[in-house]
Amino acid sequence: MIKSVAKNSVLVLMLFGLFTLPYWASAFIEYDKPQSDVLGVQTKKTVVVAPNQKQEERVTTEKSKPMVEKRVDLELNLTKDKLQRFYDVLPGVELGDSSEVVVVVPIEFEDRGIDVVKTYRNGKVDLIVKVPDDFKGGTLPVTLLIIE
Amino acid sequence: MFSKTLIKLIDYAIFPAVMIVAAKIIGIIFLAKYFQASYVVDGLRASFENYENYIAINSYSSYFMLTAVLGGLVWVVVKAHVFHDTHVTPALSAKLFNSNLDSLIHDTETIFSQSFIWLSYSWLLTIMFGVQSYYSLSYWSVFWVSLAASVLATVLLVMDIEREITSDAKELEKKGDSVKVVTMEQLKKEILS
Repeated sequence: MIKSVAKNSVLVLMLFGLFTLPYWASAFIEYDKPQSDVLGVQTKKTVVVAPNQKQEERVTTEKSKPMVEKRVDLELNLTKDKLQRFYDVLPGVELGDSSEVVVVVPIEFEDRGIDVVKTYRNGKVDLIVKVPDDFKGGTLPVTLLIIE
Repeated sequence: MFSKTLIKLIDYAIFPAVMIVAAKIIGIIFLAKYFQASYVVDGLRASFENYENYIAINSYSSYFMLTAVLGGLVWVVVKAHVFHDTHVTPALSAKLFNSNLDSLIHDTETIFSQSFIWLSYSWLLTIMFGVQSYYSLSYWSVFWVSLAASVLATVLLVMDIEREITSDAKELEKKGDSVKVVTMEQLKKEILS
């Protein structure tokens, strides 16, 4: 009797295993939430332009037109300090001779007197943020465009 | 002793499971190319860097899975209503035997076992799509379509089960008419005379 129950329990488990297969099929696909590896940066999102899209753009756009190679969205944690520096905000990114980095800051932050300047240091990109005297600290969304 | 019913259920559950997994994988590969989405393959997983692409590919590949299950459910419902040996029409039965397609006619045990398997997959997928939609991992439309299909298939198969129960009851009634109740005294007399 016990042997029979044990044997049939194995069959039930096998059936359960088969029923869970569709769930595992759904686990084949995932969203890779970008993690920040930059000091002082809360979140980081990098968009890599798909190779096929790049080819199409190359065909359709003129050679002289600049093309966005990569877009990196950062959220900088700002303190009350008037001048703040964020080191190596594009780690692992090698900039070519023809590459250029453009910093985009929302207009409402610029209106509040926050100024973001990029500097190059040994092939790395740093961001220098100047904040007004009355600034109490907060998060600043910044987009970096790597243009080819 | 292994239960024959359980072995049969496992046997019937393998093909749908393989079909559902294959539909999902084929869907992901096809849709990733279609949307020209950038992704990284890490082991057996495809990691998408763009959230919009991820949610679109996950949702539409779920539709591929749903189509596979719906295909199975439609086949089982047709078998239950048309090719069920207890209520297959004599004309259709004769046609099928003439065309050597009599293997399409199935008995109640086979049809009910297969219905149980396909309905289970259908409801499990519906629950999974509901959870995914709740956590914004896929479109809500996937869940609603799956729910509607599961409800409809369940109703159609329940109707077949009811018809089966009714026909069984009628058969019993018919048999009841021809049953002769004999007492021991009568039996003794019949044997001795």
